[in-house]
Amino acid sequence: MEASLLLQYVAVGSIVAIALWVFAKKQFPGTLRRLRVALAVPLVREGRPRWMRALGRRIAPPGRGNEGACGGCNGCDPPPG
Amino acid sequence: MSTATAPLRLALLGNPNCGKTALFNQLTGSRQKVANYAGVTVERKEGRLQSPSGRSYAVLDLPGAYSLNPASLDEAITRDLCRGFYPGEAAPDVLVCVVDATNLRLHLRFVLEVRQMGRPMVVALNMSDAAQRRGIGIDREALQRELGVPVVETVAVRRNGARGLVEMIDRVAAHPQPPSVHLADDADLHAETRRLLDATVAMPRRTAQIDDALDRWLLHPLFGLLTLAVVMFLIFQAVYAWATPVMDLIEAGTGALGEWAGGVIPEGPLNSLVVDGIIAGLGGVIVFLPQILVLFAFILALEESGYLPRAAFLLDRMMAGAGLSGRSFIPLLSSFACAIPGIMATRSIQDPRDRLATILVAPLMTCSARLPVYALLIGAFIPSQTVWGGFNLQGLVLFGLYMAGILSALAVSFVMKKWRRDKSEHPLLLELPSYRLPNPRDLLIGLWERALIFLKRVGGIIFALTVLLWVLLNFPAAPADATLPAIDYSLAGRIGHALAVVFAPLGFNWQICIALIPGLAAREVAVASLATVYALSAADDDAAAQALLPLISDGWSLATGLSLLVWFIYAPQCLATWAAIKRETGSWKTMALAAGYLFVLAYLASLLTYQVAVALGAG
Amino acid sequence: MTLTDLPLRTPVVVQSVRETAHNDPIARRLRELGFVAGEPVEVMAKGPFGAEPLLVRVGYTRFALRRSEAARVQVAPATEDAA
Repeated sequence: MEASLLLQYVAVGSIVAIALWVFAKKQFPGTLRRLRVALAVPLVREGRPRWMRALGRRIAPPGRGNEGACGGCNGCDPPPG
Repeated sequence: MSTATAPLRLALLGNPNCGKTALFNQLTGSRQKVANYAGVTVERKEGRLQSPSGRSYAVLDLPGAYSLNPASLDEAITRDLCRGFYPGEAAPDVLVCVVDATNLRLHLRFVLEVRQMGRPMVVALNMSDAAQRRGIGIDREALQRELGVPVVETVAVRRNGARGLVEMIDRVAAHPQPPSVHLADDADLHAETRRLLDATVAMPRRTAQIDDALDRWLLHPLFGLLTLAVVMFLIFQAVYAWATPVMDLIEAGTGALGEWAGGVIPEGPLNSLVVDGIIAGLGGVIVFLPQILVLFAFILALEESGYLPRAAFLLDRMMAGAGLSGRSFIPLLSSFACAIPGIMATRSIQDPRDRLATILVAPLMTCSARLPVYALLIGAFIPSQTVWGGFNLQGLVLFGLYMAGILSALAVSFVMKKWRRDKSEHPLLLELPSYRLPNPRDLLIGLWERALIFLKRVGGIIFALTVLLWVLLNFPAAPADATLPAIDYSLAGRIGHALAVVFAPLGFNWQICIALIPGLAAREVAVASLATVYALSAADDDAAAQALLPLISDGWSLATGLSLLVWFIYAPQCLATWAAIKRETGSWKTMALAAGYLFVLAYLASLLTYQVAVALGAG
Repeated sequence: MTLTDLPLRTPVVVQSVRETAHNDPIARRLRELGFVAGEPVEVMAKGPFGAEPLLVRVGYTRFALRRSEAARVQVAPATEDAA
């Protein structure tokens, strides 16, 4: 496969991955959070190298705090705050 | 590391229509929509106030409440939160009670109720400019003395109109004290209100003469309704007249962008994704932004002016006949933007049966996501001519579609009412606020926000779905001995063909069937998806470069176009709406009922439309 | 005399709010909204269908009320000029 085509497939793949991410975030935020937590937990365990723990913290979702009742409204109105 | 002290918590409370939301905007700088209805006042509306003295506060905008003796969910939340009984919420440190200075007779009683709670508070005398203009003389210092709490004048809609309030908040927060005057628990608040008013406020004999004069006309049984009809009508004409030039510009722009990108990116999957997928898809939706904005400019202006409760007044009897209350009017109107805030706005409806009825019909209100679909189909199948001496036919049809949604909602609600066999009272008790001239700045902010929301949706979920659809339309690749175009072998293509069997009686071809699926996440994606499907199934480059509109205008029959239009009046899809219904009613059954009846209605209505149209020769 | 019996734009004064049932929430709500003894009140407009709802001005606020809601409010002619 020539370089240009390979590059194209990489570009396409990245765009598709981003699209999947956005889609999952909008439609399945709960599942996505759990997935991220599940991935991050083994990485931040005690005794792992520092870079791994930092990576795990990045993967883990931000704290939810008080989400309020309008979660998941698909951005039809400005978000609270 | 110094211990960061949690910022002090302020809570804004007040009657509905006191301008609390505008004040909230002023204080927090966050641009929230200023509306007269509860749909935007969801319980957790929080912002941050940075005072010039450097202190930082967390500000909570509580739902509007007439009384701390709750008659609706909104009021119960307000009361509980102030007392610190609301789960997960600390009690506010300082209460900011916002009152409408032109209407102290009503609002001051609420202040007294709040004062009974004995927490540090500040009274914000809002709309003090309007009060002054009407000749209402308020002795602020006397009021402050009599109430025993600080009283500050504010003009929420004016720049820096809340400066005095912020200074007072700083002072109170530094030394918080309970009010210095306290009444017995069973004190007669109305008598006390009257005493305070006599002591501190000089009311002119007839304050709202303008209101009276306007209401005389606008609430007149004949002229009022006529005016309402004319206003609604003109709005839809304006949508077409004003938006079209801008739309042409956008379309030219996306076309040029597509051509450029097509030339620059070498042939291959990336080219296809970017040009046929992203640019074609997103461009197909963005082009309708001008129409959405014009429509919303009118809706916002009407809201701000205070006209909408008058419309609710005129329509209440008709709505009650259909089993809805006049209080449903405003949540249903919210649903014209998006059913989800509308469904949430039903919290202000006390009667649970009315609330359920309103929630179930809210999806029938033509939400803004349908507008691109309508506009596309109208553009393709309805000729742009003037009829009846000056009315744009396309504008008429759009108006008709909105009316169809409303009438269907009334019909569905009527059926539900008959089914319920309910004979009891449906309270109305709706306040009609003073008329206000819409503030151009707030209007522009509102429009800007709406444009941003739209663009975020385009860049977010619509982009994502367009890309994913492109993937499904391209894989698996066609086998070596393919006889049909490649797209028919793709996963999406196969699904489309399978669904086409079910939808054939409606005149939906397989491309439409494919496009309906991503439409589940966002109705307007159907437009983007159609654009992508057609771009990818084009036989050659020239055909691919064609815009969507002429393609379907030539390729589909009028009957199919009309049938799809009718489908979208009922448009059962939109998972987010279903999720909102489930959340607000707490019941899977209700959600299934809503989705189910909408599907059935959509299918039957489209079926009828298509078959009749074909019989009349439009097939 | 109740609000529903009033002709348009006849200034009167609220006498009391009647309860139709024990602990009538609507009556309580009406009182909280300002329909208390002594308040000036006036019917400003009637709805286009069936003379309902009624646009009632109490004090300086306007409310749209159903006939059944307005019927709870007993009124009497204004004895002096409302302040």
